[in-house]
Parts: sequence; C-alpha cells; structure tokens
Amino acid sequence: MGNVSKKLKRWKWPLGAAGVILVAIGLNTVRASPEFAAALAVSDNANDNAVRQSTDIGDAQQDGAEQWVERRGRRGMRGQQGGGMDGGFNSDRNGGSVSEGSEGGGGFRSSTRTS
Amino acid sequence: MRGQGDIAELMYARFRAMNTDVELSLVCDRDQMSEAVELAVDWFEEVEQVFSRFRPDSELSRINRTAGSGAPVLISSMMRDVLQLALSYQEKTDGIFSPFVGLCMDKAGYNRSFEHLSRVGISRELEQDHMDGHAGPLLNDKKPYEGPMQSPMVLDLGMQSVRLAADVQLDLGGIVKGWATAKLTQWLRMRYGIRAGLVNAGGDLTVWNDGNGEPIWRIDVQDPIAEDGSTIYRMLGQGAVATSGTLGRRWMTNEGMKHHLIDIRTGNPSQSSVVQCTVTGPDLIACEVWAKTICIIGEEGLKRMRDLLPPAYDAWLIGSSGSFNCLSDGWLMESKAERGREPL
Repeated sequence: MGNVSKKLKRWKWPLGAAGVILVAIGLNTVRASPEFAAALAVSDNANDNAVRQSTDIGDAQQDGAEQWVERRGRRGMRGQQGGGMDGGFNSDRNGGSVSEGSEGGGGFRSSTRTS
Repeated sequence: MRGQGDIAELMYARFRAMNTDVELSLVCDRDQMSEAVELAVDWFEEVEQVFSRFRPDSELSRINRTAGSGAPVLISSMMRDVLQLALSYQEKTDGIFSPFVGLCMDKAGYNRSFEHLSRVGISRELEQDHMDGHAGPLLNDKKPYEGPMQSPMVLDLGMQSVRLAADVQLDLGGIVKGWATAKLTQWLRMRYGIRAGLVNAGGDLTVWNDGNGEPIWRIDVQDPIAEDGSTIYRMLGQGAVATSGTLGRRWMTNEGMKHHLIDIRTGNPSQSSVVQCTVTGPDLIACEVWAKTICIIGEEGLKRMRDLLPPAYDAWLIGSSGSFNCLSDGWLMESKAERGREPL
C-alpha cells in the first residue's frame, strides 16, 4: 500500500503537467473550430453590417501578404511550388541595360494586354 | 571584386499564373533575378490557392460553399485584407465594382478556367453585338438593383470570419491580380532592393526606377479595334497601368457572346459603349478597379473617377466604334504603317 502511494506521488506532477497540456490543446482546437465561430456569432446581438470592426483586434491586424512573405523567408525561400516557369530568364531582352539606361531613346519596353 | 553574375542589367522572365502571363523585367544581377522569380512564382501560386474560383480546394471555394448556411467561416488574413479592399472599392464605385459577381459569372458561362472556354477572337463583329444587344438576356431582370449598402456578406474583422447570404458567390478576380502584383512589386523594391523594374500580370503592371529618372519604361497598349495593328504607348518612370476590356476574355454560349465584366445592376455582362479602358496612376489596385468600372458603366465611370481621384490618375478609353477618349496627353499612338508618333 505504501509502495503504491509512493509511486502515485512520483507520477503526480508529470500527470498534472500532461493534463494541463491536453486542456490547452483542447481549448485551442475548440477556438479554431467553425462550430465555436458559429456559437460566438449567434451570441453576438450586434447588427449585421458588411464589415464588423472590433475595437481592439482590428487595429492590431497584420497584413496577410506580409505574414506570408515573412513565413516564406523563415522557411528558407521556397514554399510550395505550383505552376513553375517556362524556360529560364534572360537578359537584354530589349537590348537595354542599366548603363545604357534606355533603348534607343525609347525606354525599356513592355506590351500589355487587357485583363 | 564582382563576378559576372553581379552585374546589374535588364533581366526578363515570364511564367503562367492565374490564367495569364506574368512578366518580370528587372534591373538586377542574376542572383537577384533568380530569387525574384522564385518569389514571384511562389507568390502567385499562393494567391491562386487562396483566391481561385476554379480550384475546389481554394479558400474562396470553401467560403462560397457555405453561402446561405448562416454560419460564419473563419478566413485567412489575406482573404480578410482583399475582402476589405473589395468592399471599400465597392463603396467608392457606388456598387459598380462588386466582389459578389461569382454567380453571375457562372450563369454567363464563365464557370471554369478561361483557357477551357470556347474563346472568341477580337473582331469588328463586337461593334454590331453592342448595337444589337446580343450580350444575352437579363439574368436577373426581376430583381431590382439594391445598391452597395445591401451587402450580402458579413465580414467580421474581430473574429476574422465571413458569412455569405444564400445565392451569393464571391469572385475576387476583379481585384486580386492587381493586389498581388502591387504586393510583389513592394517586396522586390523594399526587401530585395531591386532599383528598377516592371511587373506585368496580364495587363496589370507596375514600373519603378531609382528616382533619378532612369530608366524610363515604354508601355505599349494594343488598340483592339484598329485593323492596322496600331498601339498606343506612353513613357513612364514610376507608377501603375491597368487595362481592362470586354474584347479580351470573351466566349460563345447558346445565348450569344459573353464577356467577363459583369454589370451588377443587371447581373449580365456589361453593355456600355466602352470596350477597353486603360487607367494610369500611382496605385495599381485603384487603376485596376477604375479601369473595370469605366468599362462597365462607360463615361459615367470616368466622371466619377475624376471626381474621386487626384489628377495623377488618367484614363484612355476606346469606344466600340473605335473612338478615343483620353484624359491626358501622355499617350502617343504608333501605327504599324507609319511608326510615327502622334499625340492623341
């Protein structure tokens, strides 16, 4: 009996720590779920405007594109590769270079099309 | 000592993304160019993965599938940013620019990637189509236009979620290409230190130089009506140019020819007298939105743009009969036969 009690005491804090971690993971999972979002929305009695601005979070929101480029930088450049490029790249497409500045007085050239 | 790869020169690359050609002309060395191209390819792939209407696994498709369910959908920060932007331009254009045209696009037959539609070439027949109203019957003629304030979407910035009404599908194709190009340009300049360049994503382009006037970029825009292959062009050191029109993305359906610029007031492809509009100015997103707006409602859109935007923005319009309307004297014409310069 005494042995069992000692063993339980020895495992008490690791079990407690594991429990805390599990609760934290569980809370995060719930907060990220669409059901949680739906429940929050139902409890929100505010009028339906096209954009509902939160007074505290909205001001601190970070640009999504900047987040992406920073994540990509941390990953070490290349992320998911999808389309790919046909061929490589080349220089002097229009006969221009930096030192020359422009092409025959006409500038570097780009033809554009409608979008 | 600098190696051969370190010498800055005009480098060029092109790749396909978002059903269009993306071109980079950058004044940089080879290493910088290599990194820039990788960034651009990755970026446009990411943008397509989030915003494509034709990828079932995109975030946009996921949101569209929840329309009418009543439950908010959590969205990414990028989606939040572009939706906010789209709503702000919807207000500025009095509802003419709309992110809610997905269903109208589907009904008009634009329900798959443009490369898979039966495309129609540019020709004079369009002029007659405009005259005869062959763009198809009104899809939504029993439902009056409710204006921009009756938004069928709730964007909750605090919860970062969105809720779509039934019978509404998002389509952000009218703004996302310009937004993505503007972001890429910003990174190439600020993060990669590329001192001069041009990024062109299917007619939405930005140019920049080192601020000392060199290099100057020559921007050519095709005149889709001119039979002699004339182009107009202008010289630009810094800024943005966006061209939109009804002649490029057209396809044939049983109801006649359709194009991708939807007039939200009717739910149908627009039938204004403007078939192409090029807007120039400091901000590419503004240029793209106003070029589309002017194409959709014609001269009225031009007037609104002049009222709202500073004089740094100008527009060049082509009517269905080939007539021009130009707000600035910066554009020049070059016909294939003459190769001369005539102010417009």
